[in-house]
Amino acid sequence: MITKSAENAPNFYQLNNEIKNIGSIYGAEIMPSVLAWKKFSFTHELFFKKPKQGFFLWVKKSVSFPLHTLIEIDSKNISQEMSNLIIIEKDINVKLTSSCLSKKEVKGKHLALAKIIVKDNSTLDYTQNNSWKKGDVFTAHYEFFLNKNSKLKSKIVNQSDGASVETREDVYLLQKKANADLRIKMIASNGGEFFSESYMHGEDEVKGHLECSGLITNKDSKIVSIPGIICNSNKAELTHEASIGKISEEKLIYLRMRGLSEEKATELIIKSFLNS
Amino acid sequence: MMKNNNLLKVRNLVVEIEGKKILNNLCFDIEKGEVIALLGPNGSGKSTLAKVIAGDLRIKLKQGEVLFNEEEVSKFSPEKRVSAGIVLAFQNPPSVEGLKMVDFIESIKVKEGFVDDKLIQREVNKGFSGGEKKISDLMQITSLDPKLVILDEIDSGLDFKKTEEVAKIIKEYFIDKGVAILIITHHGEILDLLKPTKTNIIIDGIIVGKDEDYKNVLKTIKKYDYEKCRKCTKFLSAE
Repeated sequence: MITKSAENAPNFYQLNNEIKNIGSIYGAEIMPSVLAWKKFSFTHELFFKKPKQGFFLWVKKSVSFPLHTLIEIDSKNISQEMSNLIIIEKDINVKLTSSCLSKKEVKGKHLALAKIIVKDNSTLDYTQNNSWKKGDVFTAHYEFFLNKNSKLKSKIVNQSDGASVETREDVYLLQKKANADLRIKMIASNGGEFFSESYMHGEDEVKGHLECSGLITNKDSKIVSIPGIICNSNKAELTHEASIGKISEEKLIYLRMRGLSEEKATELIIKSFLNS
Repeated sequence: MMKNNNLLKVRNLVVEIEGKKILNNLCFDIEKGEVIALLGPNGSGKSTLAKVIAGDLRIKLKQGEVLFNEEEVSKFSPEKRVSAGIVLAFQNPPSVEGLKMVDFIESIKVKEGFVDDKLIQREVNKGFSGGEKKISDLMQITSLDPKLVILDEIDSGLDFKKTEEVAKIIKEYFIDKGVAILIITHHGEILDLLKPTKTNIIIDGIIVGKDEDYKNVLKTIKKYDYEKCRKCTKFLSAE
């Protein structure tokens, strides 16, 4: 079903294995990846592989409101295999939020392969929210390609409430004055496990910063985070930082000494970690 | 019948950290609406006492009682003590990045408190100067409804102008409204502005002396230093 997008409604919404809604966007094309593969042969070399599911977003003009895609699972034993391709044409500013989640404990499987291409002089403000529950298996690989004078500001938030999560991000700063700031936040709770690799590749006179931070909320959870910077040019300026920690007891006591219950204080600390 | 004015009664507190006695059979009282000062050198147990009263669960009480309005509260959670009316302004509060002051105060607020327009949109204590941290804590606790406010080194690191600003908020929101105050301080400059009615000296985890005239106490400390206060009974009545 194709409808005209309301500002807050997702522009692409898939529940389990059914596409529930695709909203038309002035200045952009959005469609299932399967259709894009048939319609545009140039996508064949851009998709990771021939898609079975997923969306193709092709932004040709600046869009005045944030774009949003939403992929959910709410039924048992669903397996999703998303191949997403996002192309931002030249001289455009876009804000995009993508969310993938399970709404309850359903032992879902979600594989996401995404390529995001930002062309010359364009800026992408990209937020990816992934939230998975006990028994879910989430595997993702995001690749970002930044061309001349393009800019990426991205925050990827992965929450595992007992789920097994394996992710990889690669940001390729391909051409002069490309600039990327990628922040990855991980929250592992209730036995949640992460294996996360993130790399920033600098190929020219570019700037990139990678930050990976993890919060473990109980002793049964685990985070492995491997951030890396790969520099192929003496003109590239790349930095990274990483940290994993538990909920600070000092902060928890501080908030509780302001009258908040332990549960509410923990909730606020997690929320503040995601916002920082 | 005599009216019972007791607010806080601390009895025989013993706290040991790594085998060292930080509080050593300490006894201490505060009446409703009283403004009390507690002075002592570094490491004398001032902040530990403040935390024990306010419910810092990381500090284990080996012995003793904390009675608040005749109720034993030493097993209470920190939030339950706030509900009872005990609130602590921290010496060095932690920063909570990602949490805006405005949202934090909204989530704890019981009533309208003091608001600093420059700090309200910033993240809690993030990048705050020493003075801003004190104002931040006062913004938080003036929005609660305390019966006892413990000010742990509220004047440390502040210039005179900032000390005056802090004292003005404390007077307006607490002292003038009959809220009891425990001022914990190392050097005592703020006492001239808040004028406590009793001043106690703590050394090695025990109250070694007290006087109704804080100026006497400050004079004694200046003349003999803290370490000699234990022996000095000329100005201070023995506990």
